[in-house]
Amino acid sequence: MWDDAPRSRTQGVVRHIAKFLSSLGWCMHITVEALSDFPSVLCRREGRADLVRQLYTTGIRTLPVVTVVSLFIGMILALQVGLELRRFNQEIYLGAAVMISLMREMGPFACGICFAACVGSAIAAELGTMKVNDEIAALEIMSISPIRFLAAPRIMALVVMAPLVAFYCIVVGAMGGGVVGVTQLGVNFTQYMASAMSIADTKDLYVGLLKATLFGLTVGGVSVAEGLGTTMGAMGVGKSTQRSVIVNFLLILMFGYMVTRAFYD
Amino acid sequence: MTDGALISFENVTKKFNGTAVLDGLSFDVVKGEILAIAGPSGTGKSVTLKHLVRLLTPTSGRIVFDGVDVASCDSKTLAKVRDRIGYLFQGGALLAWMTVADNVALPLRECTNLSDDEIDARVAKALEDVELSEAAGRYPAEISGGMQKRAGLARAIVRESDVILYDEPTSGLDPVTSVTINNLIRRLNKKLGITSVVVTHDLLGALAIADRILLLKDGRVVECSTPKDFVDSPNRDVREFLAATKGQAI
Amino acid sequence: MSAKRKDGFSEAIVGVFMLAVLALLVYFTIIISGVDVIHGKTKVYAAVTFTDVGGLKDKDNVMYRGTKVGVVDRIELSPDALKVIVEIDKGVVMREGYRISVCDLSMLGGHYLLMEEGEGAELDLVTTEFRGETPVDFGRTISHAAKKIDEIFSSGKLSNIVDRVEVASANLAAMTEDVRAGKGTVGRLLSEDEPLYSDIRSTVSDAKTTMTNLAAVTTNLREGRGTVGKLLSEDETVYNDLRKTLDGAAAVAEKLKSGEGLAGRLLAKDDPLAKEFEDAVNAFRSASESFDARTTLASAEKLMDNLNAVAERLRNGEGTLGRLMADDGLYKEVDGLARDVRQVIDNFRDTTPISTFGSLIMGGL
Repeated sequence: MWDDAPRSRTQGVVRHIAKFLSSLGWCMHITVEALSDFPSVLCRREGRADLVRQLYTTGIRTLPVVTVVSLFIGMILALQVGLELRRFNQEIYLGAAVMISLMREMGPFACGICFAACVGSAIAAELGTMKVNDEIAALEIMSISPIRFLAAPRIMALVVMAPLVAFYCIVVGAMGGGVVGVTQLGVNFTQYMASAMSIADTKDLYVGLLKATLFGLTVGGVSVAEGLGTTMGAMGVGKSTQRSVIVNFLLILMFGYMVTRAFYD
Repeated sequence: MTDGALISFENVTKKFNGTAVLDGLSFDVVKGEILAIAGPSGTGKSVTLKHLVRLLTPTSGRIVFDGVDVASCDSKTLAKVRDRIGYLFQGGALLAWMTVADNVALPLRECTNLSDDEIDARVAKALEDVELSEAAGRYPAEISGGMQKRAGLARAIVRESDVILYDEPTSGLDPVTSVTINNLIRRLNKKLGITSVVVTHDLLGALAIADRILLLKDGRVVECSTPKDFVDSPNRDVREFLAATKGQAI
Repeated sequence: MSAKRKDGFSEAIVGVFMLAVLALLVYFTIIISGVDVIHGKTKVYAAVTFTDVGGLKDKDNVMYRGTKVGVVDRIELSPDALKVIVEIDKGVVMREGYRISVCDLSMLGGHYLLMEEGEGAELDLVTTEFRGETPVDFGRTISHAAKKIDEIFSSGKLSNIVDRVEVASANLAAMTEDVRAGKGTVGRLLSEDEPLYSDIRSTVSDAKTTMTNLAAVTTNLREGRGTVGKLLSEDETVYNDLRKTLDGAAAVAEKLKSGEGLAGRLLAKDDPLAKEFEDAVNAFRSASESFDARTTLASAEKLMDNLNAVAERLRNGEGTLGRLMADDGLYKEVDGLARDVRQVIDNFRDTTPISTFGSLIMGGL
């Protein structure tokens, strides 16, 4: 952005702020451009093949991690809530408590953090390495837009897979809660599921899935932007990867709150 | 600007964090010639090349390609300029998840409306030109560094570009492979009439293939002449560079 | 595995996963939205009009015969009412005489809509404009009552009443002390040579004798010792006793009726002081009988005013009653009254929080 060194400390601070805003704008630009490139991904045969590859990487390969994370989230929720409910002899509501937590927050959140940790970091590292190895430059010289060619399929895969994986998290988490309910709190599984289903609401479910979709878009946009913005070789790749995970975690929490605020006033 | 010059650098300066990497650089590249840009590491050879396709923009000065100011033109014009330029990066810059053939076919698939058969034919020809037909179905990680560079070269020539920019084509290669690559550059130049700009610190290779040699030092042109004149140049920096190369060769 | 086979495998796995999750999602959505795929739509929308819904909100449960039959879909605000649209099972039956009310889910909050069937003709769920009962806002009632209590305490009314009762008690105590010591007019009334006192003593004595005799006669009669005619003819003593008793009773009654003597004058109610005293006692009785936080304050206040005034005037020896205070019986009566008043005030102090809270709850209900 600037070829000359800052002349004063103030100018340095101003440049840092400008760089932050610039990176924010860069991230937004990439996300929006990638979204506008979704049709071209689907129209091209190579695009579709790449999309399937990214769907596999994003959805299937993260399933083991997602399963463990959501299972334990459900178990922890059930245990914590169940112990309190038991004080009032209200274990019958365990399923409802676990299900509503999973649908509204924990399911999408588990999906979001798994995507940020497994997929987002991988995208940032992969694109960062491509950047320092001049592969991105090679694409640019061949007049192939890296955003269309690299970013769009990855972001699209995240956006498509996020709600599905979030729903998978909800189901697995509910099962985990059920296991704890049956084995440690003496709740009948049928009763647990009946309670869970009685509280389940389409609004909660679809707002949760919308939240997960937003998380997917966030993880995709941030990770691609960090990856494509990598400089300074291998060290830069490490920094980009780390930064993408941190920024994704923060944004997931912030966006999670905002969506909840928007739909549950 | 020299008559018949396809590429012209006009007083180009590039600074990184206040440090000038290119300092008022000016030179021309004539159509059909092979220009070798030589010099020690860190003198701005690769930076010069990247300016030509606007991977970097100059702090000041102009870079003119066939009448177009590359540094300030719009993106469509830039795309047209880039269509006419092939670029061979140091490591080949092949995409890891694609086979060699797919890598070579990539610019055709993405930027042209050619049929699959036409693409396959052109890819096969390009691979044949770089003598890499046998590795068409292999992934970049499965072939050697030299083969990766040749695959990268095949990708650069498959679009039948007017100009090919070579960034350290022989670095990290054994002498035999280096000679093979140099011969390939010379042959493509003669066979296809491609204008070539070769950035190298391999002076012997440059002397063997180049029509002109340009020596850079601290971002400035020290010498720009034919290999014969270059060798006979009384310039102190040229003499030192030649002496160092001879010592290395011995 | 070749690249193409690998890609094909990936595609298959991705496809299976996506299909499976989507199918599960669709199934889940169908289940939680309550749609019976086989039998079609099982829910209907009914409208219930309220003037106040007491905090009922969207998605609150609708209960019918002790089970959940639906949820509140939305609440629409109109200029003069609130229309609650409920999504309920179409099997719900509502009849004339139905009741629809908003109930508290628990002490911790939350509400549900209770639909009670009724016993008349069946009503159509969709076309009938049901009317709901205005719920009692328990919290608001408590809040209102607490505010009132706070006003009472902060205005000093209660402490004012207690202070005045204490003053009245002190006056009564001092007065009775004076009377007992024979001080002043009342004290002088106690002397044996005082004709009025003697008259009262004799009147009371006569009355007592008459009552004793009357009791004996009636006992004899009750025990069936001969008929009255027989007794008159056969037993002169009994006849004379009865005659004497009746004469005595008549004389006493006449005296009392004509206002002779102090007790008679008191009973004649022609003395303002006596009237005042009677009012005071009536007010006290009324207060103690209908001991209730809402009326007690007013009654007690009135009582205290009266007692204070009476006690002051008695102490000053005003009126017949003031003069009568020397009488031991009357002294005891007044003294006992003072104790009763004090006890009532003590009881009132002790029970005020409980009775107030209790009355609030009962009032709220």
